[in-house]
Amino acid sequence: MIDSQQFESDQDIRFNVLAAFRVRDPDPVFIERLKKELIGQFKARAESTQGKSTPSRPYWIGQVKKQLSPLLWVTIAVILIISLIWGINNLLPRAIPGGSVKPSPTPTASAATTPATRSTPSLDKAIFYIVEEGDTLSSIAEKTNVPQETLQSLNGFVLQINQLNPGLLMVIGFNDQSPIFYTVQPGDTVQTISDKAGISIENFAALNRIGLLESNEQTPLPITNYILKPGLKVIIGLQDNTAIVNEGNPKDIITLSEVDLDCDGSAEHILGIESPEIEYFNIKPQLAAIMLEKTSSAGFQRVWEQTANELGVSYMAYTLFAPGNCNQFLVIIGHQGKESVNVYRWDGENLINVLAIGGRFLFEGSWMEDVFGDYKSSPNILFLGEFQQHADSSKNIWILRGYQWNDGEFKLIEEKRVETSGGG
Amino acid sequence: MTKRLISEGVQGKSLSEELKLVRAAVNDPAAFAQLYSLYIGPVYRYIISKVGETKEAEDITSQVFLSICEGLPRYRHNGYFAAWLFSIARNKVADHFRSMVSDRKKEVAYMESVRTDDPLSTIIRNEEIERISALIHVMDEQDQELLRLRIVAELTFEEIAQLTNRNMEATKKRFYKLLSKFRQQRELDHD
Repeated sequence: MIDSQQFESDQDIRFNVLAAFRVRDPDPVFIERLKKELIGQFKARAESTQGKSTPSRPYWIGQVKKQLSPLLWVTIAVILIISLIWGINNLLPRAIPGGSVKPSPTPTASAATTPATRSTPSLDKAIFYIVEEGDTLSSIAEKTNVPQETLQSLNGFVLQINQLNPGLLMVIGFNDQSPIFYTVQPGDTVQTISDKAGISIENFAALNRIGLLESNEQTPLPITNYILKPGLKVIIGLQDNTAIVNEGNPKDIITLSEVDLDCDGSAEHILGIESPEIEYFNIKPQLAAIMLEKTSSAGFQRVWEQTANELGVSYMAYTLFAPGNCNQFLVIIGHQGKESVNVYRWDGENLINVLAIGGRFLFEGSWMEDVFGDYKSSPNILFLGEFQQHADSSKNIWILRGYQWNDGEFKLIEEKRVETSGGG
Repeated sequence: MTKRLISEGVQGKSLSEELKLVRAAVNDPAAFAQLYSLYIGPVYRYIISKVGETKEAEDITSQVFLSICEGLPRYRHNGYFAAWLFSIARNKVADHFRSMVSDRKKEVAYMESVRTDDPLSTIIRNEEIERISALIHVMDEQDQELLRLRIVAELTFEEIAQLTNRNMEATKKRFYKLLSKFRQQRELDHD
């Protein structure tokens, strides 16, 4: 059907189409690197499937047993019992991850990217639960009084690779500490998350018990070989609860804004505790807690506080929505993959939640105003945009919403759909 | 970029050969490596044609092959391995664009780029490419995707039909129609 001349010409068209799409060949170094990574992953997968079929007791134990005298056996048993008791007392809660995690076999990679100031969070203050026969997540939630979702977040990686078999150790909380969660994003690796969180790979692995078998033995695999599924919650740090409730610790608390929220002529204080920065999001400051103080005869009085942990997010950011001459609304955005948006109004006594939305939002009023041209001059409009993807992924769809503060509530006054081509 | 003939590359292998390779790749790392070297080029080129940036293309390509490695034991060969592979690649690209919005800065930059900067027009090398870019630019997303899957990803019409849930003959017809548009343009230019 196609003659040779036309074929030549079609080849030129193909070539030009490739150029128009800016197609480039992959870098050979990248091809080799990914190949190595894949073979590593492949072997890890093969080992983990083999591991299930092999007997749990290694062969050599049987061999040694045959050659030992009874007296030696008694000695070994005594040593074992002593070390077991010592282990239960000293090792179980804290040293399971910390003590047994081997250094990553790729020290060059971690050394090159390790900032000088890394914190060293560990599971020292973790409270553990040992899974019993017949346990399910909901039964554990009932027994421990810890919500299922929290159990899942606290044990994200452990539950990714393990069944709820009897004997499995689960973290159900911390004494005097709150975990800082992070939701794994596509492209994240153990290395990149550790870097973002400012902790070492070993600390990160310890917090999330990466590389530990169900039996709490360390696997021989490099920690960096483990794949964290996007969407998985992992622990990237711990903060002392005392820092949040203890007012005598002023260096941790920063004043974010002094604004007159209720237009009574005196300013309110918006305070915050910064959370460890996750460079990925580029929003500063990222807050672990936000507090509000009102002016009182004695100076300032703490009247409200919200922690990221209470909101179930990895960190919060805030902005002020100013419809009048003074700021009336505090907008708190919680980030954890999806965003939650809460708008509060201060009535002089209480901070009242007047709008709560979940979804993928952004706060870029500037470009949304172009879309909402008609409402440019209308007062009290808060713009929120939501990102959606077309089912066949070829288009990006932005749902832009304008809310107007009217008669004591936010009402949706306009919703627009904007399509942009995806990717090309 | 390499200029290649259609008969080379991914489409050069026969179905039974591929089937053997896919089956072997479940347990044999050497077979998996071979499968990888067969598809790394097309997958990467397809992804970079969508995202533009080398670093992002490399990240997404890695994710695609890690998913393949993980999912291979569960994969049931229906003769369309490449369609399965590229459905994963398409999903990962979609995830990438979705995750972009968690980053406000990127997100705004992306919106700006959508409004002010036409990525196709920034890299024009010669008039012919410029004209083709212009033609592609006015095509709808489905046609653009068809060109990508056929020319960049080098899939067969059967594989494209399987991947996009469309009729094979219609896919083929559509592709040749697009090609003839380019050809007409060229003849117009030469006259």
